[in-house]
Formats: sequence, structure tokens, C-alpha cells
Amino acid sequence: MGLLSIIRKNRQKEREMRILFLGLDNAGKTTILKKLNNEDISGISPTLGFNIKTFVHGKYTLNIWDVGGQRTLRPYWRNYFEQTDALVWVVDSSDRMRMQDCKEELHSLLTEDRLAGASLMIFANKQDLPGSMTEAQIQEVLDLPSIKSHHWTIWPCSAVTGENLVSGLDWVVNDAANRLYYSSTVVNAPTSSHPTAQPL
Amino acid sequence: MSVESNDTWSFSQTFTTEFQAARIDLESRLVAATAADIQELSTRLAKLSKSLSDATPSLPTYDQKLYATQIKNLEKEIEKLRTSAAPKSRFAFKRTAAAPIAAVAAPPPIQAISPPLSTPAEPTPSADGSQASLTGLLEPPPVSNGLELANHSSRYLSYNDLPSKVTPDVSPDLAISNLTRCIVNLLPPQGSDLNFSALHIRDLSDCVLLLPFTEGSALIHDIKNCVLVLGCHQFRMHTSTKVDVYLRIDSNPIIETCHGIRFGMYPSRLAPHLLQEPPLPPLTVQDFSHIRASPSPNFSLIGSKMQSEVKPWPVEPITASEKLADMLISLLPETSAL
Repeated sequence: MGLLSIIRKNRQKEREMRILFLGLDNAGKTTILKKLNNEDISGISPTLGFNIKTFVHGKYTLNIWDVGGQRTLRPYWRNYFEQTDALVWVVDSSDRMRMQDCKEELHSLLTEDRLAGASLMIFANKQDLPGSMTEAQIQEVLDLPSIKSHHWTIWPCSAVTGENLVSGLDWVVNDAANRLYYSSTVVNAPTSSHPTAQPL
Repeated sequence: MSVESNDTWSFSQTFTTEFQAARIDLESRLVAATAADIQELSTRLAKLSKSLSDATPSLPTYDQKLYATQIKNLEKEIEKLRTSAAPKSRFAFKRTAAAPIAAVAAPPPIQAISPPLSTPAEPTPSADGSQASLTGLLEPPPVSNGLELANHSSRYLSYNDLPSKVTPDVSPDLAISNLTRCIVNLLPPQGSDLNFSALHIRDLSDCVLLLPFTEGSALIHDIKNCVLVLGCHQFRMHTSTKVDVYLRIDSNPIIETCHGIRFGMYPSRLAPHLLQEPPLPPLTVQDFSHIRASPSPNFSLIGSKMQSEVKPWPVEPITASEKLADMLISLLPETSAL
């Protein structure tokens, strides 16, 4: 049994995932998290520092790190990169004026070694606002098709109405799980009942 | 032990004198050096820095640091001399190698700065070819429910100046940008209930803004010498100076790289229904550029409630330009520049 399979088994037991929520200020990172947890979203202040939320989603325990997006806080994002399984990038779809800023921050994040391989979900938030940009427009403005380093998708959503939040999180969890725990998906398949016989 | 430390001491003493003498000699020769001397000077500097690195273990840390910076300065000097005095052909390879790096490094800041300046909401096709793709991407769709108020100066602006009519059943987002010496009054007319879902404010100077309550957040960039009256769910202000903010908010308003900001309460005279609502606790402003225990020097709270109530808020349209100027002078934080 190789080291890799030992590590996999170990993680399989834990079934934990570390997810990092980033994005410009006013994107709605904290609001999305609170909404996912069915908490009150009316009195949320801009995040000074970070919040950690831990909750069970399906078979997995998610540790979600929500780090403030103010410009003064962005240099500290790098402190949270270690062992990130999935990156959720939240975009304020109504903030046309800062889309370029948003694009630059995102693309500079993706060059980071410690985030290599992490699944990337782009939440096009605030779709409830009538003037917000569509998913397709944001995809173009942020130049998402050029991202080859990460497995990504874009999801239109609204933190206020809760639309598409759970399904988006499902994608994140499944995508990361396929990568991290693919051995477990093999175990669940009827053909290989012997865990030791897993292909590596 | 003491003998050994004595040895170290005397070694560092002699090294110091030798090193300083060599350095001063090198420095004086550098001043008068020509292109021909560069080779010799750089060999001597290399020797000097080698002797320093050999001696480093027996030197006090302060001296190590000091000498290292001195060596670095000398290296810089020589490099400067090299680039300025070198014949072009001989160092052509070096130069061409350096140039592309500079060229690659230069554009990003320009790109970063230019998009916000070219207001993306103006769907004018860009004449400049290189800019076209960039601004093209930023152009909004032809049908947008967002409202915009931009590019005015010395005017009184109200609902009638918005590009499309506001209907009470939808809450559009509102962008206000590029205004100078304007009064903007978007308080809902008597009896109506209008609402904005988000507020983006950018590049204003010498303006007074009277805004209604916004369900969503307010995001403010680059305004100076303004008065803002608004209510919102979240308030963020960036890179602004000398702004008086009369605010009604449930969360903590924040400022970032701002100076001379004063916060007061939303005047209930402008929103009579406030009187029926329970009063909110005093504002807890957070300054993200001053994350310390000491109070931030960048903002202050305007204490008494009366102060905002008795101001002559310009709720009625003003057409005469002198009257507009007078009104601005009576309200703005700084009037000497007007």
C-alpha cells in the first residue's frame, strides 16, 4: 500500500473539505454564507478579518473561510491559501465599474501555487437586482474561458433570495470530492468491493 | 573563552578599518570614474564583498547590515555608471533583455486605471483600437434596468434627470458618477415609495446628495468635498476626502483610505417616517486603514442630532446658478475652493 493510498484513506475518514470564499468587497460573501446557514442577513457589516463556518453538507463537513475583501485586507488573503480544496469567487454582478478590478484580482489568485488544483466556483451574485450583468456577460468580462489551470464553473445566484446557492455548493463539493476522494467513489461502485484492490 | 572573544573583537576592529578604507577609496574613485574604469572598479567591489561575506560570522549584526547596504549602494552606483556610460553596441544584449521586461511591467497599471475612467455605462464605441476590446467588454447590455446619473456640473438634479422613469414596483440599482458642484435630490416625492436596490457612487466633487433609503449596499469611491444624505444596508467608502455623511444604517459603516470624513444621523426632516421607528444605536464606524486600538484620525462623529435637522436642506429645485452656488457654500465641508 503506497503512501498516497494511506493519505487518501485518512482523508476519507475525515471527509472534510476546506473551502475559501474570496471576492471584492461588497460582493456578498458573508451574506451567501449566512443565507446557506439560514441565518439573518439583515445586519451584516463589512467583514473585518475573517469568518469561519463549519457545517455538514451531504456526506461532507465543510470548513468555509470567508475573508474580507476590502483592498486593505486583500494582501492577507494569501495567509489562507494553504490546503484549500475549493475556491469560491464571489462577484457583485451589479458592480460594472469594478469588473476589471475583479478580473485582475481573480487572475492573480489563480497564479498562486498553493491554490493549484483547487476547484473554482464563480458565484455571479446579486442576480435579483434588475440592473445586474448576466452570467454570460460576466464570463466574458472576467475572461473565464482563459482559465486552464483550474476546474471552474460560473453560477448565477442571489444571496438575498437564496436562488442557486445550494446547487452551487453541490457543484463545489462534488467537484472537489471527485478529485480528493475518487477512491471512495470507486469503493461505492459494485465492481470493486475490496478497498485494497483500488487502482491508484 | 575570553581569549577567543578578544580575538573576534580585534578582528572585527581591524576588518572595520580595512573595509571602510577600501570602501571610501572605491567611492571616491567612482565619482571620477569613466567607462574605462568600470571593469576594474567592479572587480575591486567583488573582492570587497567577498571579504565581507568571509568576515560576516565574526562581525556584530549591526555592522554586517551596515556593510551589506554600503556594498549594495556601491553596486548600484557601478550599475548606474555602466548603463549610462556603456557604448550601446557593446551592451546591446543586456539592454534588449531589459527593455521587454519594462514593457511588460508597464501596461498593467495603465489598464488598471483606464477602465474606471472611461465610464463603462456609456455605450459609445471607442475610437482607439487597442481600447476597443477592453471597453467593449465593459459595456453594459443595451437593455439595462440600472439607472445612471453622470457627467453634470453646476446643476440641480432630481428624478426628472434620470434616464428612465422609476416605477415603484421595481428597485433598480443607481450609479452616480462624474458630477461637480451639483445638488442631487432623489428623495421620493410626497406619498410615493421609491427604493433603490444598490448604490454606486464614484468621482464626485463639491456635491450635495440627498438620497432615499436603499435596501442594498452603498459603495462609494473617489469623492471629495461632498455632503451625502442616505440610508442603506451597508456602507463602504473608499479613497475619499472631506465628506459629511448623514447616515441611517443597521450595520457598521466602513471607510478605507479616507480623510476628513464626518458622520451624522440621517435628518428625520427628510424622512418623516423615521420618527415612528425606534432610534438606532449610535454609528460604529470602522476605518480599515487604521486597524488599531487607538481612535482613527480619519473620521469623526458629528454629535448632536439637531445639527443635521436645522441645516437648510435643498429639497426644492434651484435653477439660478448663483443661488445654487450659495446653497453649496452653505452646506459643503470646505468652501474656500468654490
